Amino acid sequence: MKGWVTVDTLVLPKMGQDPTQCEDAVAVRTTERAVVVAVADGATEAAYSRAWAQELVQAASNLEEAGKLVEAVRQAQVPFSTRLEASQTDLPWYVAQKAQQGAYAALLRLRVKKHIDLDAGEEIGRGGAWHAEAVGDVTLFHLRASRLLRAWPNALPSDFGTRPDLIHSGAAGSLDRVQQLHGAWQPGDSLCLGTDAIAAHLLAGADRAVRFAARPRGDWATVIGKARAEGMKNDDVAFVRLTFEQP
Amino acid sequence: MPYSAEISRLQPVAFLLLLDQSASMQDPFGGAEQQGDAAPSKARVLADTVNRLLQNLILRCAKEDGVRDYFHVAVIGYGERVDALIRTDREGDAPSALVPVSALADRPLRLEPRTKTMSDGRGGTVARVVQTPVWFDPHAKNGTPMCQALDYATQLVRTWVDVYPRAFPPVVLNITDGEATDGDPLRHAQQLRSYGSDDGEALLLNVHLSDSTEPPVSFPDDIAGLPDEFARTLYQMSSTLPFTMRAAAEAEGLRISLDTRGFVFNADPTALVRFLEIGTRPSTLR
Repeated sequence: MKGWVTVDTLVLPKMGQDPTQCEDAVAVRTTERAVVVAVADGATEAAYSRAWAQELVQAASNLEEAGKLVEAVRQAQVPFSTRLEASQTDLPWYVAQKAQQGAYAALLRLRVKKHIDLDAGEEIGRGGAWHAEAVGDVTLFHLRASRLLRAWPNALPSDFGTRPDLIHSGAAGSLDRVQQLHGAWQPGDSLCLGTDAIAAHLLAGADRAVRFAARPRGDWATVIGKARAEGMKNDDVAFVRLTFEQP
Repeated sequence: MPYSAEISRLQPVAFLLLLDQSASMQDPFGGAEQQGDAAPSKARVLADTVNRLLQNLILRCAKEDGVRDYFHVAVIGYGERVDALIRTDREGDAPSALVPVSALADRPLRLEPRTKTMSDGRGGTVARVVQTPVWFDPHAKNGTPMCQALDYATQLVRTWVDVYPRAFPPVVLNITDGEATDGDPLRHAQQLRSYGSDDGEALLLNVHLSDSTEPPVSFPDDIAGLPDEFARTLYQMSSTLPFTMRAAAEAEGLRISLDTRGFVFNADPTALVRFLEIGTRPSTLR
């Protein structure tokens, strides 16, 4: 049976770097009636960013319900901080100080639900709802009929600065900058999530996001390689596309 | 656009710190809170500040698996002599006064245990002993051979841009408390700034440490209003700030224009720290 949604993902390190150094992370959890996607971007100037980004997306995708970003982050902070603390023996002075500073990452969590007709008790192919929560500049794109309906929380290339809101790995890290947005999807729509470099690039040109999202997953790395050569910021890239099938 | 090259291990940026070590650096800052023997000398404050800057530059490049060489750093003292205060002696590195930060991280002069108050991760604070690196100690003797120091920096800049022709250009931060005693530094500064990479000419930023209680003149954009000829010379020696440093200056609450120069006159210790923070923000790391 054809699924109601197809999920494609790409995680690409900076040009010239090894995939094991990539500090962007993606996790997807799919059930029969819902999909939860989490994308995180670990801060370049912090240490342990890769591990923290991975910990965050796992925690954020493990909880199925909408509106669980804060709970997921709290579940990730305690074990991560404990492990970091325990690792602080016989470290060079600079690693010890970075460990004490903790790790930072931006995070976007998206939960997509299929519409259910409660009376009929069956799916009727009318689309459904989505709910997004974000700290920082990982960006959500909602596309319909070859048009970009919305980009969120950043909508313009100039919205991307060098100091986005970030989630700290410390157990008391502040979570007062969580933004939320709701929406509805229709069959044929796409919802895409991208970390800052690809998101800013897609927002910088007319229809770039539409054209990129329409490409086969296998083309993405090549397109990004060309874009980098033409001036796109050479940063890690994480990109996820959810394509809602026509009934 | 100039001054936009991404900083990476393949295209690192060079920071050259020129430190006045003349005899007058034994004096305290003008308006220092403590007076007499209790007041730390400008040389002591400068050594502490620059050691802390080196530490922070390393921490910006440090990951759990080591230090990435986004920066190479030279610290050149000028006073009794003009010489590099740090050098790499790591096997495999070319001998140079410009030291990769990974080599700097591995070879401090000593580590001093210092108590630091930090977050306990639960909303409170906790005092922790932190091993703090020191690379050089204060020194203050003789005159102010600033022209020689600028020439030394020019040689390093010339060699650097031959090796990294497309990188962000070298950033030279000159810290002095007095006028040059070996000539007119403006000509030497112009010579230094005439070298550069494809991304722009070398940047020269100057900070004058204060003997007076006058408030600092921070990052001016107009020569009119500067108090004397010495200040005007330092202003003319200084580069206009590239956009990334302008952004860093604005983040520090300063009023900035396109003509703002990388120059502070009558700096107190706080202004010195802010000057170094802005001057070492050439671009985001990749």
